[in-house]
Amino acid sequence: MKYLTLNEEVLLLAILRLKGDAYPVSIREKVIEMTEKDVVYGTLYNSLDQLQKKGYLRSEKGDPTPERGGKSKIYFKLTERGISALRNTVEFHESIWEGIDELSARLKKN
Amino acid sequence: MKFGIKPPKLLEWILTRFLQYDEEYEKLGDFRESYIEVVGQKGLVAGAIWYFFQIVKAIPTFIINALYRSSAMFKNYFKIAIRNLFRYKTYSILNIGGLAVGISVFLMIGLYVQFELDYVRHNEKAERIYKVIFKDQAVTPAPFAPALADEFPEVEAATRLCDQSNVLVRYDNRVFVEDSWVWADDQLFNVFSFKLLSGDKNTVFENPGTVIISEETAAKFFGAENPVGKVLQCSFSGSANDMTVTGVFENIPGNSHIKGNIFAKLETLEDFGMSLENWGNYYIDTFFVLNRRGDPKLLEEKYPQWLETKHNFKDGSVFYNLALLDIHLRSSELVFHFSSVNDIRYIYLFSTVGLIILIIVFINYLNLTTAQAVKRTKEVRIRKVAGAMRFQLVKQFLGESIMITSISLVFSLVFAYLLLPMFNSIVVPEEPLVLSKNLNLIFIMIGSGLFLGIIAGSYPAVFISKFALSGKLKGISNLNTRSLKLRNILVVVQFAISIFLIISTFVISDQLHFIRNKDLGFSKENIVVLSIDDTSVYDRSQAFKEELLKNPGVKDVAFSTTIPMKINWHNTFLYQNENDSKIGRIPSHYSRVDYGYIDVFDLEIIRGRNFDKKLDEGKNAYIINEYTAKLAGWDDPIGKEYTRNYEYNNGERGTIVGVVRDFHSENMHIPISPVTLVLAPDIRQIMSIKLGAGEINETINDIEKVWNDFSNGYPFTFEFMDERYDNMYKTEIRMSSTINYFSILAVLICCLGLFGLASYTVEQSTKEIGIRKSLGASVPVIVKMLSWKFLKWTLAANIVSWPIAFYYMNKWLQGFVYRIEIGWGVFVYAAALAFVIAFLTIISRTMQAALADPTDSLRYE
Repeated sequence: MKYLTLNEEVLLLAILRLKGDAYPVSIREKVIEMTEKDVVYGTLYNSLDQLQKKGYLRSEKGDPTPERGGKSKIYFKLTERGISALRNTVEFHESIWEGIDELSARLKKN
Repeated sequence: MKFGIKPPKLLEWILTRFLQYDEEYEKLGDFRESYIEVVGQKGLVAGAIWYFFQIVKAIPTFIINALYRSSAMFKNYFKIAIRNLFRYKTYSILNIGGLAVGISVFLMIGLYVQFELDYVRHNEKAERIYKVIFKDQAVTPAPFAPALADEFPEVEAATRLCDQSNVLVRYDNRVFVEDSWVWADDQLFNVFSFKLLSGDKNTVFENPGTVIISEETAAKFFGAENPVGKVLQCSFSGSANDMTVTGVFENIPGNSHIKGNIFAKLETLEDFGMSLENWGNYYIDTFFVLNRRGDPKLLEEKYPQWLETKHNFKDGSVFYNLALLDIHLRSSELVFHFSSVNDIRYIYLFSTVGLIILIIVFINYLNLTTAQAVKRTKEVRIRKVAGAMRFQLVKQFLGESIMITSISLVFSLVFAYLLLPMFNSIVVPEEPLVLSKNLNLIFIMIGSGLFLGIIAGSYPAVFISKFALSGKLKGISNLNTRSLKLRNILVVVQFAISIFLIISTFVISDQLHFIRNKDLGFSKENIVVLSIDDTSVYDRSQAFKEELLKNPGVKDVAFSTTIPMKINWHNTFLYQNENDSKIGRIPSHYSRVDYGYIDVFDLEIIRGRNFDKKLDEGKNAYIINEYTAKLAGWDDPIGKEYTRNYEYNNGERGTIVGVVRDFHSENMHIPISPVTLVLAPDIRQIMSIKLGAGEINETINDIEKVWNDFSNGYPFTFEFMDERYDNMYKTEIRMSSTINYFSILAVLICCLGLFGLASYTVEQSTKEIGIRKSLGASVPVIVKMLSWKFLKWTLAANIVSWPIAFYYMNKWLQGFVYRIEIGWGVFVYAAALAFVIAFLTIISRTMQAALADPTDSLRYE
C-alpha cells in the first residue's frame, strides 16, 4: 500500500472539505487557507493531474459562467480509491505516532 | 463582483500558448476568476502583475507536461525509425556506412591540417619571432644575431642556432649516434619557449662544453639516473669534446620548427677552431624576437646601411626577415631550413580532398534519403489522415535524419580511431596524430555532422510532408520525377568531383614520375654515399679510399662537400669582365670536390678538361657549368681567371679548367642555377662510392668491414644516392600516395551512392520490367535501358569536370620549373575509368532485375 505525500494529503483534504464545490479556484484558495502559503496554478494543475492519473480523483465539467469568460469549471471529486488512500494515511500516521503521547505533547507545546 | 473586468489580452494569449493541450481553455477560466478577485482587492496593475507571475511560475510545469505528452509521439517516431532502419537494411548500411567513412576521413584530414597549421604556435612569442634569411638560404653569418640584438632597440632578443647530425655520443660504455644535435646560445630561452625540468635557464649555458638534453634523451642515455652533472664524450666530424649535462628540457612537440634532442652551447664551437665572428661564413640560423612596436619590414630596410657602416658588409639588401609562423608552410623555396618544411599548397590540396569526400558522402546521403522517402508516402498519408500537422511530419523526418547522422558519427569516431594508425603511416606527420589530443576538432565535427544531418534531412522532410492527401492516391510518379531531377543533378556533381580527383591523381603521379626519371645531367644509380664523421676514418681517409678501391665491386670513389643533386653551398665568385675589365660577381652554388668527382657522377665535360692531378696540383682550379659561363658572358671560359671570394675571405684565385653540361644541382622546383666545382684534393666530408660489377649487398658488406677496421666507434651508415634523391621528393611522393588513396575512396563512396540509387530504380520499375519482358524484351535491352539512365550522367559529369581539372592541374604544375604537359590521354582514361566503374557498380543490380522472372514481378502487388 502506498501512502500519500504531505502535498497530496493537503490537496485531497482540501477537496474533501470543499465538498461539492471543488474546482481549481476554490481548491487553490482552500489550500492557501490551510497551509498559509501561496500556491501557483501551474503546480496545482500538475498535482491535480497526477492525482487523477493515480485514480484518487475524478473530474467533471460544470457549467460555463460569465466571470470565467464563458469557460466551464472543472470540478474535482475524490474517488473510492482516494478516500481509502486518505484513510490509510491517517491510520499510518496513528500507527507511527502511537505511544509517544508525551513527545507529541512536548512537540505541541513548542 | 464586476464581470466586465478582463485580464490583459496579451497575457491571456501567452497563457494559451502554454495551454496547448487544454483544448477548451477551462484553465483560462480559473485564471480569469482569480484575476478578477485580485483586481477587486488590489487594483488593475496589481492584478496584471499577479497574472504575469502566475504564468512565469507555471512555465516549468507546463514545459514538463508538454514534454511528457510529446514523448508519447516521440516513442512512435522512434519505433518507426528503427523499423525502417532494419527493414531497408541495404540503404541503412549504405547511408550510415558511407557517412561514417566520409566523416572519419574528414576528421583525420582535419587533425592533420590542424597539426600543420599549429606549427610553432606553442611558442609564447610566436607572432613576434622572425628569422633572418640570406637570399634563398635560411642561414646567416654567425655574428648577425648578437649584432642585431645589441644595435636595434626593437629587437628584444636574438639567438643563434646551428644543427648538426651524426654526433657520436658515448656514456658509460654505451654509444649513441645523435642526429638531432643543435648548437645554441643562451639567448635561446629568450626567443623560444623551453621548459626546463631541471637546471636554470640563466646558468645552463654558462660555460662552454655544456649541453641540455630532452626528457626522452635523458631516459635513453641515463635511464633512471639524474642526468645533471654527467659527462658525455662526444665526437663531431673531425673533433671530439667532453660535454657536461646541465639541464633537462621537456620534450619538444612534433610541430615545432626548432627540433633537437640535445642543445649544446654554441660557443663550444670556438674550441674547435671555428670563428663566430666571421661575416663571410653562412651556417648559423638567426632567430629574433621583435618587441611589440617593432616592424619587420622597417627593420629589414635598415639592414643594408647598418651592415655597411657598422660591419663593413656590402650589399646587405640580400638579407630579409621571415616570420616564424610562415616558415613551415610558406617558405619551401628556401634551402637550409632548420628542419623539414611543408608547403601550404599541399595543405590546401589536403583540405580540398577532405571537403570533397564530405560533399560526396553528403550527396549520397541526400540522394538515398530522398529516394527512400518516396517509399514512405503511404505512412505519411496515414499520419495525415490521423491528423498529423505538417510541422510534425517535418519534425519526424528531421529527427530520423539526426538519428542516422548520430549513429554515423559514433561509427565515424570508431573508424577514425581504428584507421588513424594507417593514416599516420600514409601521411607520416612529424608526430603521430591522436584523436584525444584534439577534442575541439571532435566537437566541431560532431556539431557539423549534426548540422549536415539536419540539412540533408530537411529536404526530404519538407518535400515529403508536402504530399497532399487529395490527388491521385497512387500518384507518386510526379513527385518522383521532381525529386529525380535533383538526384540526377547531384549524381552529376558527385561524379564530376570524382573524375576531377581521378584526373588530378593521374596528373600528379605523371609529374612525379617525370621529375624522378628526368635526365638530371648526372648519374645517381649504383652510388653509395657515406658521411665521414668518424675522426679516425677522417684522418686516414686516403688509406680508407685505397682499401676500398681494392674491392672489385668498387669502381670509383670521390670525396666532396656535397653531392650533385644537392649543391646548396653558396658563395660569390669574382671574374674579370671581358668588355670593361671590371670585376664581375657571380653568386654561385659550389661544391668542393676531389679529382674523382666528375667521373663518379658521370658529369659531362663539354669544354676543357677534368681536374688533373698532374696539372692542377697545388693550384686553385675550377670547373663551372654552362649557365655560369653564360652569366659571365664567356664563349670560351677555359683559362679565365676566377676567384672564390667574399670580402672577408682571402680570395682563392685560380683558373677555369673545364665546363660541364648543366645538371640539376637542386630539386626540380628550382631552375638550373650557377654551379662551380672547386678543386680541393684534401676534402673528405662526404664519400661517394660508385659500385661496379658484382653483388651489391656483398660489396656493401665488404665496405662495412673496411669501415669497421678504420673507424673509432662510429657505426657504418650509408645511403643509396637514388634513394636519397627520392627522399628529396618525400613530401610530394607522400602527398601523391595520399591523394591516390583518397581518390579511390571518393570513387568508392560515389559508387555506394550509385549502387543505392540503382537498386532503388530497379525496385521502382520492377513492374515495368516485368511488362516489357512479357512483351518480348530481351535481357540486354533491359540492362541497357536501366543502365543508360545512370551512365549518361557519368558522361555529363566528365564534361563538367574536364575544364575544372585542366585549370587546377595546370595551376598546380606551375609550381614546378620542369613539368609535363597535360595530354588528352589523362581525360580519356579518367572518363573511361569512371564509366567502367559506374557500369560495374550498377550492372549487378540491373542484371538481377532483367533476369528476374516476369511472373514474379507482375505478381508483386
